[in-house]
Amino acid sequence: MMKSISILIVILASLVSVKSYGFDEMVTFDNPKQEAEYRELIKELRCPKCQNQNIADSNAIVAKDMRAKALLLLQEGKSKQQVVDYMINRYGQFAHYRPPVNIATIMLWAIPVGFILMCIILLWRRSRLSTQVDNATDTAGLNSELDNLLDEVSDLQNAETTRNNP
Amino acid sequence: MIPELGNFALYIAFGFSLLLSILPFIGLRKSNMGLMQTAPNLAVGLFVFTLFAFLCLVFAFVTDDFTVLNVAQNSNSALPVQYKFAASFGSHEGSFLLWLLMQSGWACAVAVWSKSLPTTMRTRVLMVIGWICVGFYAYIITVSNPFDRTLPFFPVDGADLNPLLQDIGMIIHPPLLYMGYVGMSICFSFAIAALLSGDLDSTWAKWSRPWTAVAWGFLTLGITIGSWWAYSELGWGGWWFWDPVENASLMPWLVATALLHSLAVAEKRNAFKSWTVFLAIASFSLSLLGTFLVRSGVIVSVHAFATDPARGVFILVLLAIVIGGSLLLYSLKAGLIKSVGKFSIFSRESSLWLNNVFLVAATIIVLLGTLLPLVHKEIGLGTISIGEPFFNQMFTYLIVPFALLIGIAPHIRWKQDKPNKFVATPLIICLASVALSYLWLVVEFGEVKGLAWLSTSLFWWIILFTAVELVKTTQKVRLTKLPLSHFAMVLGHVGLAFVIAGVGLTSQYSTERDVKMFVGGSESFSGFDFKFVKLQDVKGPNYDGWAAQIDITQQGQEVSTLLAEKRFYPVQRNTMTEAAIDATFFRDIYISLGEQLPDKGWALRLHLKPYVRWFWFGGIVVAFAGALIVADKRYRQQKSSVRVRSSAAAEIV
Amino acid sequence: MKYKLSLFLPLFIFVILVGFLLKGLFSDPRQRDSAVVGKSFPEFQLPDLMNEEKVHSLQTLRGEKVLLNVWGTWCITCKYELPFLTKIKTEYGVKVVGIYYDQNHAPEFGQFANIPQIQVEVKQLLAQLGDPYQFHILDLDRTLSLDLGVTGAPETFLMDSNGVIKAHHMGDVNERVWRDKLAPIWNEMQ
Repeated sequence: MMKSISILIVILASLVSVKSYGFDEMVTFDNPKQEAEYRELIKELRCPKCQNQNIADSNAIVAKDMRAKALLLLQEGKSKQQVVDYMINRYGQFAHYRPPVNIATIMLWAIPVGFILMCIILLWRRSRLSTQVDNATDTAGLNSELDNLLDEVSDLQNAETTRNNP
Repeated sequence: MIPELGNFALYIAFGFSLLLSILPFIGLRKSNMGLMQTAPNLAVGLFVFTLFAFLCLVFAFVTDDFTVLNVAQNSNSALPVQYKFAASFGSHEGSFLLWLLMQSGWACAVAVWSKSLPTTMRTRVLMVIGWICVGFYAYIITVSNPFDRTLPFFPVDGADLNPLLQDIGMIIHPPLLYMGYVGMSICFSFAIAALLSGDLDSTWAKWSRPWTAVAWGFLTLGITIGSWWAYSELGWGGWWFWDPVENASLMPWLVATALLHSLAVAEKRNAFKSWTVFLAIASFSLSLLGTFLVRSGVIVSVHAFATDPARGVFILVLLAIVIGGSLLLYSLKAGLIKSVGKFSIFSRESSLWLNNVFLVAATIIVLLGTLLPLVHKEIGLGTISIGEPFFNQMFTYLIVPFALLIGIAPHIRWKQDKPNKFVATPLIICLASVALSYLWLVVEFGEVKGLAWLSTSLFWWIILFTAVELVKTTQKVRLTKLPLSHFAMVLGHVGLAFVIAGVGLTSQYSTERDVKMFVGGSESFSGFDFKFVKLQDVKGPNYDGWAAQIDITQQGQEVSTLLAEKRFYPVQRNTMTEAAIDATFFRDIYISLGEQLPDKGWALRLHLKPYVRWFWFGGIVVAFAGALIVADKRYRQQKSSVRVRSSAAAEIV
Repeated sequence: MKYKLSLFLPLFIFVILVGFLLKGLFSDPRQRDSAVVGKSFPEFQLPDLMNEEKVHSLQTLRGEKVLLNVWGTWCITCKYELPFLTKIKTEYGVKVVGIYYDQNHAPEFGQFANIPQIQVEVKQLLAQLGDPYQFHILDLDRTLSLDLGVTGAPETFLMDSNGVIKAHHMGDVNERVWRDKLAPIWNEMQ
């Protein structure tokens, strides 16, 4: 019983934190560039109170305060990066959805790039080994997909014949 | 009484899964045909009893049986009946029963629709499914039983389903998604069965291709519907957030897409065979990993279920056994696979290899982005967040070569082709795409944004190339004679083109504005005029609220009348924004109603989202491609091309 | 049989991954390190909750180690930690200062906190559950809280006599948190 109550509490707690999507402030901008920067910023900054939401989508008080502060800093002439740094200084690297580059996070870029390069080298070597492709069936006039298609069509007819004459 | 029956049925189903994992095994060992023949019957039995258990749970929900803990926590007597049904899989326990229903359903489908397979192969596949099921059924009856009672002190009424889940999306999205996740277990089982038997020629690829296509189609549809649901229900107009739970569904999809393509090579050209086996294992492994992430609470997500460490450990052990075991088997056996098909660097094989490379690279990106924050924290480097800026950047880089490849690859011959044939046409199409999209953006938006130009150029590149390919092909083969799988390819590629264009256009040209409006007041925004006509009370079955009636006109022409709602659900004391959407194929007007301000005005957020529908439209078209592959007669009539093997007894199981 | 080592790579990666997932299972995913620990306490000029004439600043706080507790009467968890904070004040002589965090104050929408009412509520609540605070800094527009990286209430900071933040705890302070996390730092502090 105790266990189920504690589960219930967890459920309730999680519901409260998901519920509030929305907005309720009216924002005005000095110019379109500022608006664009503001919109980008509030999508890139993470609400530190919420499960996993940016400050644009969250209605938590801290998200509202961060939005207001971001706008204020932009109006003071700060650049987008300065606003991000301002928030990171207070809320930590956690508050920015773009990870910092360090020894661990470099893997985010290194592994995919390394993987692609490795695979292309592999392909190069593999196809070199088999450059002696059998050219007997290579009838030049046919369209690329066509020989394969004819294959498939005959497959299809075979299938039909077998079904009709089991 | 009914919940006890359901519980009992679950235990029986567990028994069936045990038998399914043991009897066929002995049968194969001893070449006992009788024992092998039990596999399909056991699979059907497994499904029947799981279905019965599921119906019992649905019954408990529909009849408001609050003596069942699961019902008491996730339903309420005032909840409309369709949501009571949805609530039966809205919780952790219930959704896992749905998962099992799908799993046993797939097993049953294999039992019924694969009569043309050699008995040993079919037995082995079902046996592998049985092994997976044993773990899952053990999990549900030990730590996640949906029929647990609240007795003797049961509540008068239930705690209600989270209002966010009270939506048509909740009724269709989880079943579709689970069909996809669990469906990956079928190609997985085929691959494991092939590894076990050592019978790794290209026939297993041919057999598992239609199953993979169905599962992939469901997964595509599930993800698409999920995105649409988030968009229409959450009230902030977003449709993809790179949340861990979304990523968990994207990873198996990416791998399954790669698998579908490499299965074609394995089947037709006898190449990439060991790689294909790996992809089949990976697609189901990633489905399981996704389940673990959602259910264990290891990662912070908006959608996570309420979590319990005991369950987390159980699933992790299950994960370690299933994935670890199959990867071990792969490492030991895959060396024996010989891919004999030869090809040169400029060939269809190479281009499909590149397709696989890009898709797997995308999977690696998503996997790293999802799990690195955890690793980063555990090795003591502190908490970081990886989100939209990272994923968007990486996917933008990746989609360019991928889309270029999609256009050109269907024109390249198998084995070997001449690169110099591919100069004139691509050049013309490239210029045409760039010019067409430039014109499009200038005419429609008056301003050309780089990323939008890129995405629409890729859109035209794929569309034009596909059209050229279709025209060339139909000059040689009559349209009606073309195999359906060829149309599947066309649809799949065209669908993706729509997704690319939709994402590019809506992310670059969407506009939004927060306004304060009084009843009777007007605002104009992005060429439309919005008039706040009236505010009316709304009385729903289990909520109260207000609806703001907004009339939209464009240069005096009536466009639409929308009702943007604010709902209050008293049971959970939740306020929900119910966005009002006027959708056409080319743009959405999206209005959400905010708070009432102290001066009696209302805060409203107006969005204009051009081409946002193309994303879901593309997704549905892609999913339809999966259906076409299955409909292809070649896969329904398999006996003709199957070489029946009878040496099973001599082989290791 | 001959084995290809490269085929074991996926298995190897998976085993490492399981290790991390297992470790992750037993740590709280929401626990984060604070960005302000080790930095000096931010400058501020804010009124006293009970007496708006009186202004507090970093200068008035410096010189003595202090526990700063971000709280509000609207915050349910805060009520649970009041008795414990009172206990550590009386038993260990910890100087506790409140930073009053109001969630309704939003002048840009024309919403203003009703300060006399808050004063009444605070007095009632503290009389009922125990009063650990020497005084309360009224952070009405939550600027100090933003500078401190506060995500909500309750949160607790330990500041040494030089004005350097030594600890930042998110969530309530209870017996376990105090014993395992805060007390060791507090006892080391100047």
